[in-house]
Amino acid sequence: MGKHQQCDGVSRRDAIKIGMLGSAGLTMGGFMRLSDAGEIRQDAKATSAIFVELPGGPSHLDTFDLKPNGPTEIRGSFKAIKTNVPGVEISEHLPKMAGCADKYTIFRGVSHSLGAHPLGQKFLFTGNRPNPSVDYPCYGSVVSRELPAAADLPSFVAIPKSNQGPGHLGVKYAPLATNAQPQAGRPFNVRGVSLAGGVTLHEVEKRQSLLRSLDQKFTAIQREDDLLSGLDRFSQKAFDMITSQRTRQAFDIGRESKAFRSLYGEDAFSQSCLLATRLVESGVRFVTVSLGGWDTHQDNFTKLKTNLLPKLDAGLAGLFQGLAEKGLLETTTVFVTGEFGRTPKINSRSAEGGRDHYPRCMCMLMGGGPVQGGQVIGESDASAAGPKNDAINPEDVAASFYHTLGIDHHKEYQTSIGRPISIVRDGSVLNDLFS
Amino acid sequence: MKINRIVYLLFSICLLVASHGWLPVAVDGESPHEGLQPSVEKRFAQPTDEVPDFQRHVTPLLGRLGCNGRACHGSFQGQGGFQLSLFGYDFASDHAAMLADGSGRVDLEEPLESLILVKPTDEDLHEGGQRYETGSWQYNLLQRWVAGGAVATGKPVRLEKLEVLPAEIILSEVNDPSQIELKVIAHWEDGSREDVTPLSRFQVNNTSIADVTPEGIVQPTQVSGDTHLVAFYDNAVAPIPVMRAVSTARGVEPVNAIEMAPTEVDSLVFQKLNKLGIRQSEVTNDVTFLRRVSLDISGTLPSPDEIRRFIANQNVDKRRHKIDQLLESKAYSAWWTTFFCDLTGNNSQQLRNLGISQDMASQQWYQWIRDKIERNIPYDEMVAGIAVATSRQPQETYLDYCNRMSELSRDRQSGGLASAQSMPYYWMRREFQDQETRAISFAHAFMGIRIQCAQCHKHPFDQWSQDDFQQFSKFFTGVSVSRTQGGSKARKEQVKQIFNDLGIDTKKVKGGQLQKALTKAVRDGQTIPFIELNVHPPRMDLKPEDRRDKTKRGKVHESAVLLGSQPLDLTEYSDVRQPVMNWLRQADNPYFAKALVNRVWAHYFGIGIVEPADDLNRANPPSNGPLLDHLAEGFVENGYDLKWLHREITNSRTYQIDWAANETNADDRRNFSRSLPRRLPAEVVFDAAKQAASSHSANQAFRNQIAGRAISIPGTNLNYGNRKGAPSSAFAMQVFGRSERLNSCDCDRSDETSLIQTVYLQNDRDIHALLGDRAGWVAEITKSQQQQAVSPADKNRMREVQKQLDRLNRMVKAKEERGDVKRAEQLRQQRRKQLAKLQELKKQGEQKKEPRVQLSPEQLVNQAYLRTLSRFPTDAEKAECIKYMSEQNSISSGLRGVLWALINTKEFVVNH
Repeated sequence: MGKHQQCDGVSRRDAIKIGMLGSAGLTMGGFMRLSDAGEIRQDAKATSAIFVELPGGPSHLDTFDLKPNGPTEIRGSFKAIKTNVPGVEISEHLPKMAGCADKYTIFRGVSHSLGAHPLGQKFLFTGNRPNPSVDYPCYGSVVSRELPAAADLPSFVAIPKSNQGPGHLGVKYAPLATNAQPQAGRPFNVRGVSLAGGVTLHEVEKRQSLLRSLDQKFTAIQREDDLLSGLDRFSQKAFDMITSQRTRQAFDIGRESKAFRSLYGEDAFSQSCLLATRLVESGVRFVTVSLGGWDTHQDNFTKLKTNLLPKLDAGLAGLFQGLAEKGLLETTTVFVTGEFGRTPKINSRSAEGGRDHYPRCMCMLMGGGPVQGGQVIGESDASAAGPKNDAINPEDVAASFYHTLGIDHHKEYQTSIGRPISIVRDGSVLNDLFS
Repeated sequence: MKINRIVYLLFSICLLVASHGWLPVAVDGESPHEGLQPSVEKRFAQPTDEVPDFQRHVTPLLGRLGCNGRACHGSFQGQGGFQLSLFGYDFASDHAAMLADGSGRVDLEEPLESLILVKPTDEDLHEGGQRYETGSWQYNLLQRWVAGGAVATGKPVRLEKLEVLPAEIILSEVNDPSQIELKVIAHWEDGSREDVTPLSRFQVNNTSIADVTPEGIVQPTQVSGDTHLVAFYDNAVAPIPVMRAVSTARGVEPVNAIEMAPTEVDSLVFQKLNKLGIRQSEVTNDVTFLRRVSLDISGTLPSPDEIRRFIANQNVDKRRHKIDQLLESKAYSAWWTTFFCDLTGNNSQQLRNLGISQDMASQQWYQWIRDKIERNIPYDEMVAGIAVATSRQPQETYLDYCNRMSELSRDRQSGGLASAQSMPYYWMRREFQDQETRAISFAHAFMGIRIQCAQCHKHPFDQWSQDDFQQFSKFFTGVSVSRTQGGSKARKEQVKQIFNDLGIDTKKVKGGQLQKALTKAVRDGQTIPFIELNVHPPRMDLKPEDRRDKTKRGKVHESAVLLGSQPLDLTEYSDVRQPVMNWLRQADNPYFAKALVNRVWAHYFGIGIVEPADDLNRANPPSNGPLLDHLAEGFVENGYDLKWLHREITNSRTYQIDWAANETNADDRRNFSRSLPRRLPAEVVFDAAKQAASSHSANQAFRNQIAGRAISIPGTNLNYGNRKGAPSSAFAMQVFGRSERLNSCDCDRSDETSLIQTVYLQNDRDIHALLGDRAGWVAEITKSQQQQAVSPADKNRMREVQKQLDRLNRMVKAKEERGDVKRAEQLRQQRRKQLAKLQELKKQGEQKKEPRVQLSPEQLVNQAYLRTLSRFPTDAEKAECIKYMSEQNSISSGLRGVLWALINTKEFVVNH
């Protein structure tokens, strides 16, 4: 019955149905398995993750991989400052991050070869080098499939939206995009989740009871029919989600105490990090937060100093400290990356100079979960133009990231034509991360 | 069937007697097995002098043993330093791998030390464990091959046919189902025949009905239903049906009376159902039929008035007439244009940087197809307009082309390319430029097959080898997308000149900036140098390292092979896509018509005759072969007339049956014995919700009001054409999974359900906005129920008098200003008269004023049901709704609640 086997023996229908929800896109196949859901490997510590994407490609030399003693044409005007971890120094414009360097690990000398934004992002935000014949899913889609959240919560939320989609896993693993960033001191509503159209809870309940009494047409064949029985269950679950205090409260950052909110900045990125913290606390598995504007071909230093770094500093430091304060850092992996680094050589396109795309050398951060903070893994050469010794591949970081969540990156999925595709194609777990 | 089995038994006994070597065996004079070479299992059971053949014996044996599987040596990295081609059939590379220096797989000097002998016996530790024992027939076979010099296969011998016996298994008729042994016979091109059962691989598509052992013993379950068992050997894939009848009614009385079948479609469906003892459900009632057929053909709900009329219509042919009427509607052409835009991949994001905006290109694509659908142009003609499309019209110069396109991209209202002979954008999509992607996409769209598996290895479910794929993909090397025609000097100059005239220096202005400059130039009324689709000889793709080598440049393919066909001389064609189109149009083409009729069938039934509908391959046979053949042949005979196909399907009883199951067909999903509820497609869900909530007149006009409908979004820019702030279908399209038109897979469109879809219908602002629309039905009813109104005629009269008054006022003022006291007084008198008249009219109006016809709660509920579920409510449903409405504090909230509940029933969101 349409159960035709594909390239590797799994039917496409099955392949489509295997697994679970993206966002609130809980599918029937997934729904039936909900009872088994949420199983996490014993040796893993993290049960959720926050992915901070920095599209545009942040300059590694001006953030977490400074070369204070490097040649003047690459060094730039920023100074390095000490952090709370002896021997680890970062940019002077990241003072708050310097104060919590024990909570994260810096990868330096990460290297690849894709210097265009879309390709670089595809690579770094999915952990797989782009390949025209496979559309790889982003991290959040994989995690929401492997570790689905409870039924009344979305598994994967993107604030405000994500650069990458669910790829071959299909729309059901796409994030629930908030489409807006929360603003400090203002109520925040999310489409579909908050009661819309001025309808009150009481009205919803009355309508729901009318619906239940009217929705009887298929009772006779419903139990035997996947479509109908699934719709029936979803009807109840949707009602639960819409009326769920837990869901609504998860998005309501106004419920945090003033003291807690003050850990974060007031700008939209910081508030997004605050929302990410709340969502994870409520049981959402994966949250993507995005801060763009890193494509600093011109006026690199002014842009970083006056705008990007202060925002990044406040938001990320708030995130690490907020998670720690709520006791969530141990169970939440935080992964921060752009798509590439920037040229060590400062260009002369503007008076002040800028830096161009540079995939050969970049840096990333990871913290929380089982990650041993306060480390630097990998090293770039004297002018930050490439890895000093062995390069760290983005795939290795991807494999390690999944490892923090107990997800085996070798695990294979079937694409729509039944082609088996492993979660991360090439890559091995960097054990130093956990020592 | 029983007789066959006895023959096999006898045959096996004979084989035992003649166990050594190849003896022609005759069971009796008429035996079909005369001249049949016994199996290798027999021939190599004992040491023998025979040397096996690499293609016929060694490679299939490695396949049967699992050596070339993905987890083993078929892995692209190989395994243990030894790599075989995945799923075999790359004889040269497999042979080379075995004899490679230092691999030790084959040791010609010390044959018995060959790793292909000692590894699989696990004598030398084998990660894959023991595959056979020393001295077994498998061992002997491989050993004899090595000893015989490990000879390779030259040109592969063609396997003409792979015969599987028995040719059909009806489990319910077999006395001892545990004894069903399969026999597989290879018929080679050279006339020889061999029993290849032990060298074949087997699979059952639905193992809940039966399974099969690696040796070819069928193991039935007690589950009834039907499926196929598939045997694989060499490049052949041979399916046989396996079924167990559902009811014992078979034989007692005919389950479905074939002579009573209203149409040929029904007769063919009945024949299959009778084999299974399944009785088809009853014909469904008029309202269910009307809703189903309206949604399927036109993507639009019937209006309440239409439903009432249809019920009242006593004409016995009213269903046929309704189908004809629907096929003439605008919504039909819009909805089926969307179908063909899905099929051909009208993806806006793929149409960037063509010189024309991507949305416009998508719209032109859509309009071009819509024009064909509206005029019911034959399908083959429409496909030819795409498959051998060119940018330029016949006789058109490049400059004329640029002028025409520049003109087009300024004129949003024009029909675009609709009347053009061909639609080239199919070939101009960004990610469809290399020959392999094109071959994959073309085969998927117009042949309904997935040859991408053969891009890297032998197709596991079809006969295609990598070589077949490469040969086929050569047909797609004859067109490319450029502005400079691949660099002819004259053209380069011409383009340069146009750029000069525009004042654009292409050395300085590049990439995104160039696009911007061109967009601006076009908008300013200038002609820009357009990119076009160039047709040229089939260029050989050079390896990156050869691209600078002038001696290697400019080479062309001289021949290519259509799938499953003979080599073609490409030098005879000025456009090498032409022979592909010619081949598709041949009446005996195995794919072209079948792929389309199967997809259209799947559209109407939620499941294809071949399912998945875009996966026509040998291992995935149709659930009803004669039915598929009938439709495909009829389609070709009727000149690829799409409306013929729609009528042939929808006028059948099989299409018009009920979803309610009887005692025989509850478990059947693949034989069209009952109607399967299907979730409405994304576009239709949104449009249906919108229609349900729209005013009376808008609801009635819906089927012929295409603008703003989700079924008429041209490309994949979901916001295209939306007014800012107006409720848009964009979000719903994502939630319900409109086709992404990207991946050469019909699954780009989702028919799944998800929690977020239900959340959308229950609580999204779109739905609340539709229900609360001031121009919508709830507002309309609320107004008419509450207000009493002055008659329009009286209103008009009053308006006239008021106008007079205003005029008089102005005149009085003017006269007073001029000091014309006398005239002013006259006018004042006139004014008093008019004022008195107005007051009188108002008084009369008040007296005449009658309440508008008020709808009773019962009538309102009827309306709500007809708008949403396209039927009248039952008494119980009516009572529930009236009770709910009476508890609400206003008519509007009562109606909104009822409409909301109805839109959220399963009955609304499924087509049933």
